[in-house]
Amino acid sequence: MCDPMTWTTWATLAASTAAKYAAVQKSNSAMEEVQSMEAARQKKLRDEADAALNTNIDKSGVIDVNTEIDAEKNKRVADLTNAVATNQGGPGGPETGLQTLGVSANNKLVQSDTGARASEGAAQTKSLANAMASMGGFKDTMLNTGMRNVRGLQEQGRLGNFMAGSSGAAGVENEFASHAGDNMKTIGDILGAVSVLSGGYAANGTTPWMTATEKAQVLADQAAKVAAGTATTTAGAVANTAATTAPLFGLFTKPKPGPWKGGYVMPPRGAGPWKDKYDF
Amino acid sequence: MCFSSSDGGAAERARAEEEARQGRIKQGTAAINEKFGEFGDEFYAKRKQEFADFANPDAQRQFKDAQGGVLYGLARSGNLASSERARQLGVVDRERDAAAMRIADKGAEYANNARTQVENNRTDLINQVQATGDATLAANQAMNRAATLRPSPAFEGLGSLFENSGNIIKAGRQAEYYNPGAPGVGALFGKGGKSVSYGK
Repeated sequence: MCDPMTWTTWATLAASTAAKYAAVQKSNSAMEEVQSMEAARQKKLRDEADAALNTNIDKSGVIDVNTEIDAEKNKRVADLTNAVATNQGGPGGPETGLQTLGVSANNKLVQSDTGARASEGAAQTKSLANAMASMGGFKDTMLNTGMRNVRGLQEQGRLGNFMAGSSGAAGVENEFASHAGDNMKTIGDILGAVSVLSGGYAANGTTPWMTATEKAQVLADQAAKVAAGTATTTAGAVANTAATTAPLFGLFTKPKPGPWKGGYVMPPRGAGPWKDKYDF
Repeated sequence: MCFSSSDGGAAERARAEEEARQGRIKQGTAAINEKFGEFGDEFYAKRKQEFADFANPDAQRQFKDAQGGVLYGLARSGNLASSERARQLGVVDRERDAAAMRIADKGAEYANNARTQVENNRTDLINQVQATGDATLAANQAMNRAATLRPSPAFEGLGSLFENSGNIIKAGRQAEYYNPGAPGVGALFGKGGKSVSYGK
């Protein structure tokens, strides 16, 4: 049956181990929570970045770019046509008053020629407008694409910046989380110290509430027991040694006659199961 | 409790500071975008129109000169009522149309340059706010940059827009110079030999 101090030692040792285990569990759990929350934040930002990138890529395909070039070209054509129309006869147009000079003298042939020249001029103007619009439309599209890319890059930069910042904060949180079990660990350490102390008492057979005299008495008793135990052990050991070594000493004594008494006597030649087989 | 695992709120503070920083960057970016929102399609259309307003008067003057030069030349050579009139005035008209398109095209170029400048400034400011996380500074700088981007740049003229017409006029004058007695030369002013009269 164990004494109270032994019980205390076992109990505190178990409690200390449990507390330390719980401390590690608590730290791990807190760190896991921090990491899981940070992973969720990073995923959200990454999803945003992916969406921004995909939106940009979606608008950069060959078909999309060609469609955009056509749209920009059409805008330019409309713009140039409008500029020509405004300039020819609109409010801002260059009416000089000279164009009617001598018109009254034009015969039908000249009038027809004038009409033909006007049509030819209009066709050339249209062709030129188309060519200019094609180049302009391409430039406009490239400008739009460049701006979209820059804005996309900015957005990616912002999200990358946020990811890095969040990660930095998570580092501090993780460091704190790694100390989440410190209280339990301290309790475990204290219980461990108590178990060591109580183990000492248990080994001595004393208790903390014994008086000094009682302790001295117990220790003296133990010393006596130890001394007695040592004497017994020494005597036993000597006897044991003697018993063990005696036959060895017997080897060097003169053997007594008779089979198996006092030693081993070599059987005479021809006797024994091996008979004449061996000649010593 | 005499022992505690508290870090004095460092972790919460770090997270709160990071969230505040991100908030400031978002706020600063929004302030920049809001300020630069004035540079929309209307602004660029206006820039284009400003160039047209700048270049059109000169183009009109050049047109009048070219048309007058050609007509007077035709009149002097007695070709006012001729197919040559149709040809030469056709050249002047084509150059007028081409000039109108060049003006429109150049206006679009000025508008695109303005778009590029605006975008570069916006990018600079956004990079800055992302680096500093200072929303107030970003908003102030956006205001300043917007103010510098608003006015029109010094436009450059398009130079001579009626070169072909000018060549026709020049050729007519050279003809007059070398052969003042040629038929039709000086018709309107009564100089030279065979003149052509109108209204007969």
